[in-house]
Amino acid sequence: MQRADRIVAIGLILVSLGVAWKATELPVGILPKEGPGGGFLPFWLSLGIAVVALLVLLQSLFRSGQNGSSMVDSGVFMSREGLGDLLRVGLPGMIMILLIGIISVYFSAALFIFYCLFIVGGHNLKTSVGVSIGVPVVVYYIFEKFLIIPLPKGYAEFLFYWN
Amino acid sequence: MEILGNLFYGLGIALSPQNLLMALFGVVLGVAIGAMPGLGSVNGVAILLPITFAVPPTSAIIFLAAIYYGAMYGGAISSITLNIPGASTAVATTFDGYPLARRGKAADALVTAAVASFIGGTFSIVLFTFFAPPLAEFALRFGPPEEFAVVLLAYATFAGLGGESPLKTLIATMLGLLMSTVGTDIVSGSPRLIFGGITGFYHGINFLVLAIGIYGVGEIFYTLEEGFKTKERYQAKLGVQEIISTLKNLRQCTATIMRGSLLGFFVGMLPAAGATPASFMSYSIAKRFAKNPQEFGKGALEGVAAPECANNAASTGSMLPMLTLGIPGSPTTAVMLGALFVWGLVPGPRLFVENAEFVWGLTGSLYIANTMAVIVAIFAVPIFIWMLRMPMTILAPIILVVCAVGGFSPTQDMFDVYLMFIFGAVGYIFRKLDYPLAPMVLALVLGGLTERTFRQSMIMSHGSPGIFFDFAGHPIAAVLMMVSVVLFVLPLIPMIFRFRVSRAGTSA
Repeated sequence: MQRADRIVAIGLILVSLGVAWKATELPVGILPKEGPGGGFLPFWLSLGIAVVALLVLLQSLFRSGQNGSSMVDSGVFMSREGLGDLLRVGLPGMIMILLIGIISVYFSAALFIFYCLFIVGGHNLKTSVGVSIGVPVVVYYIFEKFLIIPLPKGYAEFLFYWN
Repeated sequence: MEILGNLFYGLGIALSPQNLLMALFGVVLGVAIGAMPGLGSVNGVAILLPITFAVPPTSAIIFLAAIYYGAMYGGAISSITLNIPGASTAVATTFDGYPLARRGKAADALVTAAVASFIGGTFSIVLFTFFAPPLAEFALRFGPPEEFAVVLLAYATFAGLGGESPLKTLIATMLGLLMSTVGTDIVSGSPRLIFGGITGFYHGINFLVLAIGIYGVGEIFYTLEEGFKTKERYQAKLGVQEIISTLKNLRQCTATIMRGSLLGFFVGMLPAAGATPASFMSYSIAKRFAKNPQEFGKGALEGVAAPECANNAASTGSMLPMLTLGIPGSPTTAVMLGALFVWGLVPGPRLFVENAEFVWGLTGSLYIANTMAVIVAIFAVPIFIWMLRMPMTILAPIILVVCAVGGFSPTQDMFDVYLMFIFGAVGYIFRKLDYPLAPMVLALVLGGLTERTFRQSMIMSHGSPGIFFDFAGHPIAAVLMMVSVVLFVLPLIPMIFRFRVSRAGTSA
């Protein structure tokens, strides 16, 4: 847990320094008669984050070895089973998100739900197929028909020309 | 008696068939979402917000307020029956609700929760009806320096209430603020922080993308890792007889409920405090005043009534500063505030004049939504128990799909869906490491206002920050600034002290 805490603190420092560098594209100082320039807030905020993240890192380093004084639990960041459960749904979830722009949100959602129910969840074929078809159909009617918000359809766009 | 006239006008609007339907729909969805482990009113409002873009703002806010109310009731259901708080606002409800359920008194606890919520809510709505207009009048005196001071106060309150680590609260707040600066510079109009012209960053980072990412996606990640293990379940029995006998027992909770409601309303009204701290405070006060404090934690009805009346009272209270000042009193109202901007409404005193239909329609509907929620909550408990029994393996993929759709709808940009997923992963890691997430959302929602009011004030004063501490010219701003400074410094004192002690400890 403490290692994760330190890695995140270091990551925050690096990212915020990068953002601070990008922020200098606009004036970061105080302009006469006008107050702060366009880069002022992002620049100083990201520097601030870097400094505070450094403090978090130092705090974590100084307190290692002392029981109970750490800011985070001394336990492990993630158990092996926990990580397994997370990856078995999280990774396909990411693939589902990436597929939305290619095969439409409807087919992508159907595949993902079917995978979660049938393969991960061990539900029977009837339930799995029912839910994975039912949810996209409900989403389709709510968004496209009721709210008239077109959702991304990717290369499957032509399949929706019928109406 | 102008207020009563307005109230009847509002009730008339709220009773129109469309709005009544929206309220019912919202309450049912809210109770359902609130009852789902991990999903609370903020998730419900964030996920369902896109639906409101298709109806007029008055119906939309009624819908959102109904979700908010419903979720407050629903949160108690899973807290009591499963010991899984349906939302952070219902965490305190688990302390005594679950022990009651284990003793076979789930029905008593559920009915107590619903009735206490109803009383807390109604109490708060009455205060809302009579105090909203004076507060709105007061808010008329607010210019950019005062607005900035109030915004700063909101951050300060959050800093004081944040998690274990004030440093991490500070980081979360600054990150949210930093995200709000992505897009276009409001004064010069030039693009900034677009990282080499990534198109998706030109329109800025939508608060909804962050909110759905960390509350929706992140919560699912969290549940995936932790939630599978919850196997112990109890069936809640609920009949007319149980309801009547509980109502008789409720008389012992009257004082607790009155205290909790009053406290809830005022804590809810404070910028950014909201229902979660209100429910905890109410619980601890109820315990302090109780004749039988040793019963608390083992299944005292007061222990269920106290947090439940307070969180409902707070949810109404937190809408007051949102409408009159544009300062959200809770994470959920922060999301609702974002919605107001999307609908093109500007919160503040002028809202009460120019959009009277909106304000009074909302007030009227609060009475109706509250009554509906208590009925829905009591009579639909068996359905929600069934839904809760739906395995996570079915619930999780459906929620992820809903999040993806919800992340896409406001901007119609796939980039935001990817961003939402990344926020989900980051939010999950942050949550594990005790970085508070609510200040981040609050800062992103308020970020634009913060920068605008700050720079407007600076232009007003020709670049001198003295305008914020000018007791003669801007007394309200100066006083608020002083309060904020004190609130910011307070949590730092014990931290510096602790740091010194631990340094001394290591060197010795």
